[in-house]
Amino acid sequence: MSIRERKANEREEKAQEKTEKLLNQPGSAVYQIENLSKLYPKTSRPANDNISLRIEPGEVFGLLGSNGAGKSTLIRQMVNLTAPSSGRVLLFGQDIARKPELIAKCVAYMPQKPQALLDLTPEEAIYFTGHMRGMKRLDAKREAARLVDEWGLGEVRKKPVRQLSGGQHRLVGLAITLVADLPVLILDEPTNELDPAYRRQVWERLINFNKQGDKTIILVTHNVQEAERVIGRVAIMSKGRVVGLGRVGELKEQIDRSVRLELFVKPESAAEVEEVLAGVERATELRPQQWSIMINREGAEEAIHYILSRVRLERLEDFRVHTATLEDVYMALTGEVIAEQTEA
Amino acid sequence: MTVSQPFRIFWDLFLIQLANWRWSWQAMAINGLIVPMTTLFFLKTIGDSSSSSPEQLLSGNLIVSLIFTTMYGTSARFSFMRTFGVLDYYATLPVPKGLLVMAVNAGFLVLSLPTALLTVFLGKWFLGVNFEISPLFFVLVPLASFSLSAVGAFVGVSAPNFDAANTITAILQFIFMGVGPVLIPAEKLPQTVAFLGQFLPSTHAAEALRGTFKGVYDGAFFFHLGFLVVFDIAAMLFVGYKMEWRRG
Repeated sequence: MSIRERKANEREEKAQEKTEKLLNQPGSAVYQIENLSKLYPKTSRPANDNISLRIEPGEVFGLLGSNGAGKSTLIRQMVNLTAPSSGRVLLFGQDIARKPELIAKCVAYMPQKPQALLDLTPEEAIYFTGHMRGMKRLDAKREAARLVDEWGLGEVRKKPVRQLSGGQHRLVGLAITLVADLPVLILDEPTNELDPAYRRQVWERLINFNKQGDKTIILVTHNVQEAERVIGRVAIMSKGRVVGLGRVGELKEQIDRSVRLELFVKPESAAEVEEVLAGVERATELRPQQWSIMINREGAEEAIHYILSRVRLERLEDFRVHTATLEDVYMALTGEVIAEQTEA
Repeated sequence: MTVSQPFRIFWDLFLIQLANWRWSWQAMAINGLIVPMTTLFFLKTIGDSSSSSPEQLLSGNLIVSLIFTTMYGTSARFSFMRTFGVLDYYATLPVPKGLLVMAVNAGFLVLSLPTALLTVFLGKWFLGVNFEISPLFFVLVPLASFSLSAVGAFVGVSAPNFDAANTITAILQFIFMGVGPVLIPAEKLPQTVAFLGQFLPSTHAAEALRGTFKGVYDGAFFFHLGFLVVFDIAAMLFVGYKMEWRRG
C-alpha cells in the first residue's frame, strides 16, 4: 500500500469514527422534525403544515396517509430534496440544511418509483451504489452478489433492470437501499407491485434487518394491514397535518370499542347492496364492491346478524368480522379511506 | 470526503453512463453517422461543389455528427433524469453534482468518438482528400464535444419536461448546423446569419477543426480554441448551477 493510499485510508477511518460518534450520541433522536411547513409556489394550501415529530433509534416508524396528505413532501424534506418554507429537520441532532452531507452518510432512501440505473444489471446497480456510498470495491462486489441471491434475483442477475417485472424492479430498489448498511432506511411504498409471497418476504426481511442491526426504518405505505405487524409507531397524515401519532396499539385503543364488518360484494349485486347500506350508520365503501361497517361491541352480534340478513349472503363473495385495525384508526381519524396508490 | 473519493465517484458515474448506453450504442452510432454522411453526400453531389472546400465539408460534418450524438444525447439524458426522479437518487448519495455533470458529458464524449472519427475517415475517402491528422485534432474534438453536450445538458435541466427538451433540442440542432459557417463558408451566408454564428460554439469548433486539417495554427485558430475552452468551463458551471439538486 502506497503512502498516499495509507493516508487516504486514515482519513476515511477518521471520517467514519466521526460519523459513528455522531450516531451514538446519547439522547439524540434519529430525526427531530420541528414545526415543518411547505407551501409550494402558486398554491394556497400548504403541502404540510407545522409538522413536529421525533423518531428514535431502532424504531420502525410508519407514515400513513392518502393522496395529497403530504407524506411524500415530508419524506423529500427529510432527505433534503425539498426545502421547507419554515421549520427544520434535525438528523442525529444536526440540522440537515447546514450539514447536507449527513443524509448521504446516514440515510438510504428508496423512492416510490425508483427509475435510476435502469440500464444496469441488478448486481451492477447494487455494486455502484455501495461503492459510491464508500464501500471498498471488493466489499461492494461481494455485497452485491450476496444481496442479489438473498432477494431472489439470481435468475435475472445479468438482465438490465429495465427489462425486469415491476416486482423484481422493486426488489432491486430494496437491495440498493440496503447496500452499505446505512443506519436509517426511508422506504416509500416498498411493497407496491409485489405479489403476496414477495410482500411477506419483504416484511420479514425488514423486520430482521431492523432487529439485527438496530436500524431505524421509516415506512410510507398504504398497505396498512401488512405494515401493521412491522410498524412500532405511526404518524397519520391528512391534508398536510399529523392527525394521529403514537404506538399502533395506543391508537387502536381509541377506537377499540368497535368491531369491523367487511363485506366483499358480488359485482352483479353491487347496486342492491349499496342501496341497503346507504341507510346503515358508519358504513363506508372502501373500494368498488368492498364495504366496511364499524359496529359497537355492545350488541355487535345482533347488529351483524341484522346487516347480513338485509344484505343477504347470496349477494356476497365473502365477509369478515375483526377488531379495529390500523386502517380503521386511519378512517376514524381522517374520515378518509386509504387509497391504493399514495402520493403527495 | 478524502482526496481519492471524487476520482472514485467520478469513475463510477462515468462507467454508469457508459453502461447506460451499452444496449443502444448501435442506434446512437447510426444516428451519428447517417445525418452527417447524408449531408456530405448532398453537399458534394447535388449542391454547388465550389461553395465548400473539402476541409469545410469534413469539419462541418464532424460537428454535425457531434450535434446528433452528444447534444441530443445529453439533452435527453438530463431531461429524463430530471423528469423521472433519477437526480433524486444521485442527490441522496455522496455525489457532488458537478461530478455528475462532468461524468455524463464525458460519457457522451466517449460514445460519440467512434462515429466522429468514422465521419472524418469516411469523408476523407468520399471526398478523395488526403491530409495528416494533427495531434491538436484530438484536443479539439473533446472541446467541441463538451461545448455541444453542455448545450444539450442545459436544455435537459431547464426544459419543463422530456418532450419539450426534445423539441427545443431538435430546433437547436438545426440552428447550430445552419447558423454560422459550419457546413457553408461565411462568405456564402447572409451577413446576419454569419454574424450570429460567431456566438455559437459550433462555429468556433468547425473553424478550429479546419485549421487542424489545413495545418494552419495562427491567431484565429487559438482564438477559436480559447473560445471553446472558456465556453466549456462556463457552460458546465452553468449547467451545475441550474440543475435541481439537494438543497444546502
